[in-house]
Amino acid sequence: MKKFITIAGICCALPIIVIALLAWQGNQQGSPNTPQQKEKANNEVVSATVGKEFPTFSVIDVDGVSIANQVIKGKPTIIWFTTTWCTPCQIGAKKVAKFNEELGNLLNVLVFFVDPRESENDLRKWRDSYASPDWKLAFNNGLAEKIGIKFLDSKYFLDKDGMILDFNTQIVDDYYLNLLRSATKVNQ
Amino acid sequence: MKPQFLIIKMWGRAWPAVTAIITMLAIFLWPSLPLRGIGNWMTVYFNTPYLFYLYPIIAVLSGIYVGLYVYNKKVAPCCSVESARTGFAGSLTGILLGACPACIPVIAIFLPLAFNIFLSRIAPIFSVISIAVLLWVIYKMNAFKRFS
Repeated sequence: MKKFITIAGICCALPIIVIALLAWQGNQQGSPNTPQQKEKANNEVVSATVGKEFPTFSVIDVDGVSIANQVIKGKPTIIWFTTTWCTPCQIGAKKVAKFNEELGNLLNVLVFFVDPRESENDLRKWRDSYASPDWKLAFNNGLAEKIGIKFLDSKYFLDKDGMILDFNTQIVDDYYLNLLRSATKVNQ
Repeated sequence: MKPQFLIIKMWGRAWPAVTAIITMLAIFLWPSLPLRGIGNWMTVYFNTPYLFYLYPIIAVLSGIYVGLYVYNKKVAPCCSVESARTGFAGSLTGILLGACPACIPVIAIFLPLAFNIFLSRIAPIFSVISIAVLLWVIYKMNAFKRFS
């Protein structure tokens, strides 16, 4: 019986490990392959910590608009790393959208989607369902890996000069909204 | 005394019944901790279809499994310890991997983001595996045998 349990366990675990490895490899397709690219990528690894300026980035959002650090300066900004299917993130996005509306759209919100299997259409649908039309949505393109993001629902809150005021990986709640409110008042 | 299925009989004893209920509640409410409050967990729970249907089953089965284990230890020997260990693994799989995308920071610490995304995407599969393992273990613990 013990032998049977061991064999059954291995039979269940092996396909899961193989599928996981294949999927992981698939997710890494956008990663650098040549030694030169790898060296360049290694040199680009940066930390994004509270009190420092958010690392340099440049992406094209789903509307075809180029977004870089300069574009988000001038207003306090939330930089959010999520996926379209993350339920706590959807709930959080709804709360932040409502909160920002009450504040009179004082916040920039830039959302990076970290699941490479999602399409531009998925992102637009997500914006229609949970966010505001003025939110900027873009694919991650390696930024999350570059700054060491490990969790879904990771959020950076930046002041109007692009300095990181807060980093949060929890669901958006009253505590977080109060933090945004007080920081936004100071940054006006 | 009329013979009863062990899965029903265990509720007649204080220790197995109490531990089963505590386990069910603890597992069901556990995601409140990483999600900072029952309100947040309930919102996530009611808005995630697979979680809504599968997670209570995992909680109930884990409770029954713990109840049977306690019955075996405190009241009367009913089952092998090997099955109990498998049940623990099944229960843990369901709790850690089947719960919800933002509820697995313990695992996420040790894995890269791409792997975490993959694990979160296939969380419903882990939930089903967990339920299957728990059902099998509960069966192996003689839950469906009649005892007088």
